[in-house]
Amino acid sequence: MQVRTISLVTFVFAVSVSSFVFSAEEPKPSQEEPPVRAVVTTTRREIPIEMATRFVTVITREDIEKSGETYVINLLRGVPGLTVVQSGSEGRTVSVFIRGTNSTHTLVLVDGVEINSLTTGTPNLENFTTENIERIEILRGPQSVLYGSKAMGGVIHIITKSKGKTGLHGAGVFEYGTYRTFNEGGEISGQWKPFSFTGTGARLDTRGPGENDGFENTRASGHGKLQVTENSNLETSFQYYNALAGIEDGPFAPDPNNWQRSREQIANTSYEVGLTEWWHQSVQYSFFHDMLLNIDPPNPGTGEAESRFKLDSDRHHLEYQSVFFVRDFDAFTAGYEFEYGEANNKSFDRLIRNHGWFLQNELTLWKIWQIVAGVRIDHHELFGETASPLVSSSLWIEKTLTQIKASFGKGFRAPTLNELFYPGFGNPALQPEKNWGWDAGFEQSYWNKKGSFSADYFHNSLKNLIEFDAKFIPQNVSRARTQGVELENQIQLCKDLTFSTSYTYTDAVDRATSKRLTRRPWHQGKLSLTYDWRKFHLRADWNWVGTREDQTGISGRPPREKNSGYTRLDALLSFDLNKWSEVYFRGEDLTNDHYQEALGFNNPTARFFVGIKARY
Amino acid sequence: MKKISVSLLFTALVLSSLPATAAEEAQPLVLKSVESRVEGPGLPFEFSFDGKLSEARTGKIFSTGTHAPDFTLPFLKEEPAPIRYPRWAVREGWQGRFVIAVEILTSGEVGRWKVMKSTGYPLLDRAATQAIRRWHFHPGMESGRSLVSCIQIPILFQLEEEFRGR
Repeated sequence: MQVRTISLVTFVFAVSVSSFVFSAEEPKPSQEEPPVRAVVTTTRREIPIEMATRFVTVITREDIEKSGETYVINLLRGVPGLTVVQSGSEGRTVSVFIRGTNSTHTLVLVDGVEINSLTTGTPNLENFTTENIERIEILRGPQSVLYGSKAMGGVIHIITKSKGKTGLHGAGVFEYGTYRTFNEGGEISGQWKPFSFTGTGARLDTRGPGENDGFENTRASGHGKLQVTENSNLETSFQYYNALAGIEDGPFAPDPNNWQRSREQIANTSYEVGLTEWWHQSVQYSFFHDMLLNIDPPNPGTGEAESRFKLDSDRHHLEYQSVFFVRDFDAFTAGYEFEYGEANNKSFDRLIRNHGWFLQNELTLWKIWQIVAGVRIDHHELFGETASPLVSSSLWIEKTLTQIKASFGKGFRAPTLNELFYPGFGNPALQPEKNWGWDAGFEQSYWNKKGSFSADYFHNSLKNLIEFDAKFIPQNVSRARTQGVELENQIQLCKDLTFSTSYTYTDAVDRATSKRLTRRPWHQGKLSLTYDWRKFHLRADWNWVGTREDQTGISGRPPREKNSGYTRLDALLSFDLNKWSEVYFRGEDLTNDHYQEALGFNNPTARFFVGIKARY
Repeated sequence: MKKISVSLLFTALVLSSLPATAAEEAQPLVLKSVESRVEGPGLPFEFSFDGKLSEARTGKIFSTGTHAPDFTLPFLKEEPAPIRYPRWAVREGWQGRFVIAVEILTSGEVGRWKVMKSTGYPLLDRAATQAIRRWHFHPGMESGRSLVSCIQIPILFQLEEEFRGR
């Protein structure tokens, strides 16, 4: 009894001194949330990037801020394995090839929502700007095992900002530059537990170098997160783009008044819940709307008729996913995806449904050896079932700080609505395009982990590729093989100076004709430098792209032509005025190469911008 | 790697069988805190003694300090149940400081307990409390006689960025 009394006293006493005790001794956790180098694309759940068994590049918000780039595509230049081709100046069509595969083999996701067009198969990446992006993950190699159709070459996953700092914050930017380019934008973000949100709006206007090279782009986005209960979150996000670009009729065929409007809306809601330590679930519904309007009025002095084309497409997408954990060595994922796509214009109104089921197991042995294996079955309304397996593995060697990685998998691409049904040339009997691919390589840390080097070899074998026959009907006739080497090195020479380099060799061949696939360079690379000195920050990105072959299809020109290589230097110099604002000078294409990424379309020459950023 | 480390700071506050009035007047028996780390959920339990990292072994005294000369501090009798960083908390990036006062009975079991400082996240509080309640101690001793004592155990839930590996 006496003992009890004493212990009660000690409790009281403990309360009185407790603050003294740990204020002196206890390390404090940092107020900010830790910078997490996470990746979600490889396994459909967030894991540390070092746990990834695939070759992934992550462009973080910090990288984006440092590079100062306006467009997402300029961040993708120089990423190992990627080739970015823009047909002319800002706002013109962009193709992104991963590991030498077609541009329709690049699946692009925004917060897990596919943005590839239902009708052309490629995303309108030219309209995507960087102001609302938290990070971009680029996964190379087939990934249909988790994402189904189109993930043959790889996946680009854009993750938008969702976390605000506590309280209410805002930011604004104004930029002016060559070709009367105005870019203004604002951001508002906040966090009041249990709710956080980020909203951005921006507008870009440029007249462009030529007569009809103007581009206007209005963007808005929002991302909110609500912690519903202790272990569940409700998230919702939307993106809106409305862009108007002057376009050309074709290679070497500028048009004084041909223009195209594209409008895209993405809405996405997800609910995630961790019912127990070993079971996490999520359900997501998303909607993607894509409107394309092309108007080409009669050119002055000609009697031709106005050409007008409009296409609307919608995609509804529902997915459910469960992840089961067995201690720390195994995670099992099972999920289902339903997709409903519809496209219509005056002469064409079709819809297509697809169901996908996927299973994945991630096993970690002795904390150093990971084996990830999965399979996905897709049921497409028209051509039936497709199975896409994938196995990947990584081994961490602590002694030498080396990680060895390898993967083998299959990918497919369902024919687009245009290829299936477009009046006059659709072919409903089309089968999916298929490939299998493997890669192997390693990542090495050196110099006290201040440097990292990665090298890998990749191989893709593609078949059933869709091409037009003599009657202009698409058929599964083509085969191709791509292989190459990707190298990447990053070194932090001192606290304020970082160098990174990358190099990609691509050998992409059409197996029917033994000719190279067009617009894929043999050699390409990048050299980046980041340097901070007092209040000055310098960043320079020097890209070089070697010779590649191209086809213009114009009579009088050779059927295949060599398109000479080019270099591109983008640089940013910024100066911190105070804690809340900075001014910057930025240049694009400073090497002033008069180059054509796609033969017949002039890319703009050197451009200079000056801007101011403020935030509170 | 998103390194998961639960840093434990043991601060033992012990009062021997002094009468209550004397306790109020006495200098607080603040014992030197000893930092301890648990690396990753469920991994071997380590703590540092004056900054040196060593493994938690059964029987090791993890508290030092000034106290009555014939008083022996309680110490861990067997390997403590690991505190697991809840997966959901890791995912959400939750961190926080947590302090629990536990009563160590003469049997060495944890008796009553009280959360002195919450992390702000019930999930983290529960993870620490549930593990610590299962810890077994050698009771505090005075003049060869075991008695009930009270210690405070601060826990730090912290996620760190690390380049690679541990």
